[in-house]
Amino acid sequence: MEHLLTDHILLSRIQFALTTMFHIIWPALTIGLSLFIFAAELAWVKTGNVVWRDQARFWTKFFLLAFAMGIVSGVPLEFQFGTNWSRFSTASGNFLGQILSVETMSGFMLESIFLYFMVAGWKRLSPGLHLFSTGMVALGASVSAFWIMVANSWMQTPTGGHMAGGVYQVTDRLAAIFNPDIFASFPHMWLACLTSTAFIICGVSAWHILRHRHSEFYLRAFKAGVAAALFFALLQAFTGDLSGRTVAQNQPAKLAATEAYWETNKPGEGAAWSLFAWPDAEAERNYVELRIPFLLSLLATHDPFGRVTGLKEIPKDERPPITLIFYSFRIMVFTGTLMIIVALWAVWTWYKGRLTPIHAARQRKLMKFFIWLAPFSIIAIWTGWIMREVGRQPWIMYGLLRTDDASSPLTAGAVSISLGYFALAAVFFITLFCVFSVRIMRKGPDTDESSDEPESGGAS
Amino acid sequence: MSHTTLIDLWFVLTAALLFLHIGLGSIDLGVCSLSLIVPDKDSETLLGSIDTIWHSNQTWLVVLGGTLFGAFPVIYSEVLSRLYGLVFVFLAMLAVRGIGLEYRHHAANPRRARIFAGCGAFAAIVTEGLILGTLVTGAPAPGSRLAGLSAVVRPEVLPVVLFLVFTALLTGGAWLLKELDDAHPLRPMARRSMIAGAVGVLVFAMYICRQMLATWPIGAAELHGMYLSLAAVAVAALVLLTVSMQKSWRGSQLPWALVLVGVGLAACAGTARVAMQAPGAASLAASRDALLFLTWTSTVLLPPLVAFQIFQYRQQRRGAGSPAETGGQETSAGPE
Repeated sequence: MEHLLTDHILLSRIQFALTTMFHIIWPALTIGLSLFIFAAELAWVKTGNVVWRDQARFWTKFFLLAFAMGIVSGVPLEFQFGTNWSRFSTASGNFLGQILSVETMSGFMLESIFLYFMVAGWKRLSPGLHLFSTGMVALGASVSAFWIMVANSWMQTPTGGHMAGGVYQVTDRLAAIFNPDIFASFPHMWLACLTSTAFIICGVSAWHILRHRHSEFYLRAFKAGVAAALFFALLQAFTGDLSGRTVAQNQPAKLAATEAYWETNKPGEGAAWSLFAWPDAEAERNYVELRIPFLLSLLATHDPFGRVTGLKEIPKDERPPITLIFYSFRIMVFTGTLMIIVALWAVWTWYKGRLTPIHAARQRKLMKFFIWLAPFSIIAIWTGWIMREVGRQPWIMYGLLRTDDASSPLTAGAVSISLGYFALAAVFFITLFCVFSVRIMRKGPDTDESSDEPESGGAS
Repeated sequence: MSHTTLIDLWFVLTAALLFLHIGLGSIDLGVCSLSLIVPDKDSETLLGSIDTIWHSNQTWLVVLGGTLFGAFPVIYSEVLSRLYGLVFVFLAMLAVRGIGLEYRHHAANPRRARIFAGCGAFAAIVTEGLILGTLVTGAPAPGSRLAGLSAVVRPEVLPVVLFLVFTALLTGGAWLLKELDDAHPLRPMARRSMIAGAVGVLVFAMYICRQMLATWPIGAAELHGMYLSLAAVAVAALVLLTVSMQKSWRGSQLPWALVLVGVGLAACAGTARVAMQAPGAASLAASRDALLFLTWTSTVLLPPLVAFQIFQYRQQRRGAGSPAETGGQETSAGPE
């Protein structure tokens, strides 16, 4: 505890982690929701069916809440590079600075300007032009995510230049942008945003369906969400595999720590994957281990006898914290697998003709699973990021600059106060978002359809 | 292009982004602040007028932060880490303002949310003034115990704080004159706000330049040129203000108000650039290759963004009524 209160670097790390975890919820939602709204609006423009317009308008309300949260939480995040990590900002200024600048000028600006037309243009713009605006907002959100992932993946696998005098000098900018990690990390993160949003849409819809409120409206959203959720969750499994192999090739210490894998396997022997273990970093071994033979070699190299570097080959001062990322990874994988299973279950129920306005509310278990999986889809993103960022430690720029050498010369007191503010603000803003989201949900969509049951049906 | 030319170019562009952030951002910060002094029944009218523009206005701050990091990473790192406390209070106040503004439609007590937005906006203006004032008069040493918060008790930063307060009064008042009906009872208040703001901006811009010249290492020959340019800027600003007074009160003040803020900031930025000619200033900027990359990407990206924002303001001007009453969305016409 004493260490925590006096170590401004640790406090800065906790603060950055906290603000990132708080912030990441909103871009994930805005990326997914903007595409969902675009798809609904496209269906409206193509078919003239106003129920799709109602869908687009209803989910736009959530989008706006999430977007406002994204701005509020994103601005401090951008400035923290300078406030808390000034030495890192100076060292990476010849690459990271321009990438973040381009991100704000392209994605973020595109999103916030066209948002005006998307929100206020229903009357003023033709349907086609309004659809274009919504498309630009969706494009802006995804472009923004791409540049952010470029910045982060470059920190994981810095290529395209060299360190000189404590500053990274870029010699090949394209190689730096399209570094080895970006090809796996961007699709993985982008799909995570879409999958999570699809599950949140399903969760919100399931909540209404169970209460017999606007069943037809929410059933339509639920079905669209289920189809998207299954499609994206299956694709996500493939990008996850690609991501794992990229880590195995470029960040062996991260892979070994994520798997709590100590001894490098000998030629002709496969590396086992631990489903469960209790790693002891001091003793360099695991307790209470449940292992599946050959699986780690297979996952990391697509070869049952593939070589996987053990932690003992990595100097102790270059090993990331093990227990945290070991369990983060497993929570992410477990949640992802559960999402695929539940999405398959929903598709099966749909195929059997049980997802109709009359029958849907009787699928109580399925609906409750979706309601519970909505927050878990965000937890999956959080745990994925914990694994990604904590797994990079002790480096801030992998292999080039240590986190301990990258911070600003701040006092622990100053960082403690700002950290306290961020913690309180995060709790306050999430509460606010939840309260207002529930109000929007209770109010329901602006359609002519009334509640299937009297208001006393337990909706509120 | 040489490294020096690129540094000059990016200095001007960063100053322009600072202008866009302060000029446009002060519209909604000013309107939010003014909402605190009008009767409660009118405060919603004021806040409703900026519902659809504050997102993109605040985005210029993000673009400014990104550009400063991209073009001048050392300045970005030094300024933000030395003024840690002030920067966080500023960001916190912007968050308070944004949440109050965005969520008041759904709040159980909209009045409280409006006060939240107004107080947050005014505190953000003051804190930003403290940040910029500290930069003008000298930033604290790295790792100082108060993390820049000592600016609160430094009287020499007051002119910059007042400059920003008057900027908010000027642009906020000009915006309201554009938005409010001719017969609206708040128009006289908006007019007074704009005139007071214009005078304050002129006076304090000149005072800040004088303060910079006295504080920063600038040679006597450069000083002479600076005074001449300052006088020219002041005359130009007065001419612009007079022209704007001659036209009808409605719909024409905002561009002039922004020009006025712009010349004030340009004078300050010009003074700062003179000071940056000192030996070793090039090390504050990113490498030539990095600045070239930034130049090319911005050449492609910035013009359409500025054009779209101008189009957005034109649409806002043409549009009837505020979407505030429908919870931020208009009713749909639809293709059918």
